[in-house]
Amino acid sequence: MKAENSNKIKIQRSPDKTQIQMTIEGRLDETFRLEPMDFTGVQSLIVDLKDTKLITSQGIAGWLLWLQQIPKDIPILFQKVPKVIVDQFNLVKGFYPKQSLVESFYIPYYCDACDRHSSPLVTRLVDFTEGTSEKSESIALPKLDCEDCKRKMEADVVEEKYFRFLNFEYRRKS
Amino acid sequence: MRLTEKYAHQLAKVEKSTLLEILEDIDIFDLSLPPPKKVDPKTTIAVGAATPLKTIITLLRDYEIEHFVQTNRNDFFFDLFAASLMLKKPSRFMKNPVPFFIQNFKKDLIKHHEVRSKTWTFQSTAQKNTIMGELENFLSGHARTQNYSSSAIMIADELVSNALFSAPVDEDSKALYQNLPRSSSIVLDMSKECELFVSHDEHRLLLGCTDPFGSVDMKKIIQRLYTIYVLEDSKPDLKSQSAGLGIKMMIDNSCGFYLVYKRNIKTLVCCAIPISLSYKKSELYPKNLHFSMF
Repeated sequence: MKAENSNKIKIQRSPDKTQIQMTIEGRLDETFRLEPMDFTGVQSLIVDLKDTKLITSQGIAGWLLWLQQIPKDIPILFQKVPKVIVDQFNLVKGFYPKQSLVESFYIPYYCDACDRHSSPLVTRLVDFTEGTSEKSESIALPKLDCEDCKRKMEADVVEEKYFRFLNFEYRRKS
Repeated sequence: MRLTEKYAHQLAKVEKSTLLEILEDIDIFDLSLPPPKKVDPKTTIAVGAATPLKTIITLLRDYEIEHFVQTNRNDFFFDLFAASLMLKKPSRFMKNPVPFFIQNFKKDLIKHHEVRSKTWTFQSTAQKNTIMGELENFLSGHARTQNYSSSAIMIADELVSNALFSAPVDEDSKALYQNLPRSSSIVLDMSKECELFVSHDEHRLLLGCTDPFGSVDMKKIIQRLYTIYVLEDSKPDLKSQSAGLGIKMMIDNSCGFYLVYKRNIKTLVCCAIPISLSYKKSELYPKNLHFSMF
């Protein structure tokens, strides 16, 4: 008997079969295993991670196995990436493969006075750009006021760690 | 240098009837001073200020020291007591580690805080989803624990998986389920019961798990941590069911990691999360590590 799935994966193909749109929700743990997919004619893969709640070490292994089956010439676009996944982009070798890009991700914010958390979404080419061999990565942190006390909230991350995945040298080595 | 000598001024405030006797004959290896000529891992606690994991793990490996405590934390003396107890009376620590994390037991020094706790016993993988669901509900019952819900559930998941897959051994100490896919179904022998517990006050959340096997391979764990943190190779071995990342995830998501085991009898693994801090401060918060075998 296998463990009950704690995640939900939706896969949709565009009418012309050139694009696959995936949504991954819930807990990525030992039950996160994707059946082999047919990538014939596929030109891009879009992965929405908005409702991914957490990832365990077994989920990381499942993710890496899943990436192995994706042909290296198919670009992967990650959308709405939550902190739990950004952390792995920054920590685990191979978790954020070279053929992929982050289109948008969440940044945790915190109000020290009210103990309130928030998580604005930032978008590629609007709020941030990844580094290249010619220029460094850049990010414009959103300005956010606390809903309770109206004071300025602060990005609740160690910037050099959280935005590491945007760094060209880091990507090159990982 | 003896612990009681080094911290004589601070310990003068502690009542003699308390745990003071536990601290006697314990040596301190202070990283800010030249290394001692001889280190006995069974009587020594290493201390340092804001010491990075790389340094701590190198120290654990090279000197076989079992306890590292950061001096620049407000719970420094609590952890020093915990480390001393693990060295001198480990069974006592194993029996109830909670007072070392939930600090209202020192009523004269610290204000009383609300403490919430819950315990689950388990013997099979079929119970895991229910436990995780109940833990999630428990964590949602307090704003601070809810903020750290993902980290806490992730740690609990690793603890339960380890207890069911990595810990069980047969009479010849041969691993029973180590190589099974983690999605397999396992039911332990009726006489073998594991326990997951959670406890928190306003500042700390403690997650712990015990198993009745005491089968930890300490050298292998320290070597794996050395590869991950010092050699910076965090890519898991995908051919192995135990990818070796679980312990890293527990350490990364907590401010204190405690592993105590009595060979062939019992293992206790605990992680503490500093729930009163912002994510940023908690990431920068120096980590304590403890690995104790008796």
